[in-house]
Amino acid sequence: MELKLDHVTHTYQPGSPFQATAIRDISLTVGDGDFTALIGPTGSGKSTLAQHLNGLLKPTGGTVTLDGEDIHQKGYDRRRVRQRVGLVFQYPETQLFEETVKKDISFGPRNLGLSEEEIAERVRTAMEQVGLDYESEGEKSPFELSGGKMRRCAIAGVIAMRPTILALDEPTAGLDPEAREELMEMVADLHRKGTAIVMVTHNMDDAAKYCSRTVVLEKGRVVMDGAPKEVFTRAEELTQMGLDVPQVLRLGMLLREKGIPFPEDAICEEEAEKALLELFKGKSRPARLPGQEGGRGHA
Amino acid sequence: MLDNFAFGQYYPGTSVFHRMDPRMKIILLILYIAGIFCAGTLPSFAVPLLFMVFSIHMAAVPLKMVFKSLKPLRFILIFTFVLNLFFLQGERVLLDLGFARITREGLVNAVLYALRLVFLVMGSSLLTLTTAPVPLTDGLERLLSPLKAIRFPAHEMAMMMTIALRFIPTLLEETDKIMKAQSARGADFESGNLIQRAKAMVPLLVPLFVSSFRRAGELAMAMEARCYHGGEGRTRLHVLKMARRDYIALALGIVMVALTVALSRLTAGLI
Repeated sequence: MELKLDHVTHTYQPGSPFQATAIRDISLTVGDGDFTALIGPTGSGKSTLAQHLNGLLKPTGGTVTLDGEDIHQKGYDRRRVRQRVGLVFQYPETQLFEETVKKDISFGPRNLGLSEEEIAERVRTAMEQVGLDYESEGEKSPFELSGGKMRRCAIAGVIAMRPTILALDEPTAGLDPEAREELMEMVADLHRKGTAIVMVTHNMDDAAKYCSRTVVLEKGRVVMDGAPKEVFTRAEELTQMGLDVPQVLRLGMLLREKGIPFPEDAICEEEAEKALLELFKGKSRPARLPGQEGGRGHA
Repeated sequence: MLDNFAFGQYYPGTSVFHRMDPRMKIILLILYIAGIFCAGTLPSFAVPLLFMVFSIHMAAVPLKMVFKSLKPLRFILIFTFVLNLFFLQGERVLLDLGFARITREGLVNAVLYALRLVFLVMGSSLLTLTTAPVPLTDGLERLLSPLKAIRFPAHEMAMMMTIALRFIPTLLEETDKIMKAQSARGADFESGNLIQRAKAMVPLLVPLFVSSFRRAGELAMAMEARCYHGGEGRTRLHVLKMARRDYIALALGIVMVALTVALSRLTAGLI
């Protein structure tokens, strides 16, 4: 399964005084097992790009193909794309509408025309996957849930379609740290079970920790594309764009300034932990440490 | 999905029309509407027509934008036209279908009513195209403020209109977003019979209502946080002032109505 964007350009309201080109000449392939992070400053076209992945927006230039077939060609059933490529919008909890959590989650599967048993089964699995309790929370109104649970309920509504690619537009925006962590673990779990993930995010730590590939957009163009290590080590360029770098990377830069040989390619917590342990064991402890600053190492 | 919504949209510009006092623009619109309804014959419609053409020219707004506002009106237009065509029965029969007749009077009347509707909408959309929402409601409030003497809530009305106008684009954006989100879950808004389509609106309308109520609550809170307490004793950042161009426009407007009335009288016997 391969979703391919080929030189995709999108202009909003072409020919009017409000004409605006959101993305230009973007080529991107999403295949099985990928976990791609889309990062970029506000207004760089990330959300517009995400809406091209399942055919909600039609490119004004270029093509989007799913397994080699143009999804915008005449006669192509776009619902097939919607089933195979799930899209979770920003603040997805604003799209909840049903009387109960179960009914809301079953909206997608029902639109696919599945049997009642199949729908019930999918709702149950989707709720388990997002960590909602089928028995106690299934009959509740989605509007009674807490903010974090509302979001997970909305995401379950997309997962229940069983997409092979799941695109999420800033799934953790506005959540507290605990809910964010839980949500990211849930996404990582889906990825482990075989769903390809495309995630728009402003959180560089999440991008560094979970993704296998990072794509940086600026002013509608792809400016960097590669493994998180390749992208995040270009910290200066990222900072110039107004983007963050992962905290571990910043820590590393500070430590190296002090003369402590923290590895340059450590970008996530686990790598940092390993590197710091090695440093403390004294394996690569530098010969002379400024004495008065000896205790600052694990700031 | 919803970007062809033109009615009530502001088209930024710096023309004379854009710079005119909004109060005068509203008065002009009223005069213009009076003109349209005074024009009782086809030839006398030439005067409001010329006035309209001249106004659009002065406003430097693309004709396409003005005509776009007519699109939602097309069914009402056809409906009025057909209704007038068959229901006003005169002397001179043009076409006899047996069950219904078309007379010359009916035809003239149908054309007149259709023209009035078209001109009415074009005139009003010219006002909203050249006037940003805030000055517009400001002007309206000032024009209505004499009615405060009889306890007419002019300020509240204007504030409600400002808020309503302000939130039209926001709501459209929201609608677009929810439509897309539900389409991503396989919802279909475009096919099916009337009942199926009405049912398909539920997943759209419920979230829209929920967010509107939430937004209203937040807005009320934000207004109170900035000490809003109604119109009493409120001063303005931009005080409206009439300039020479406004008085010239007023004179032109009055002349237009007078000419229309005169021409309508003169040509009354011709049809």
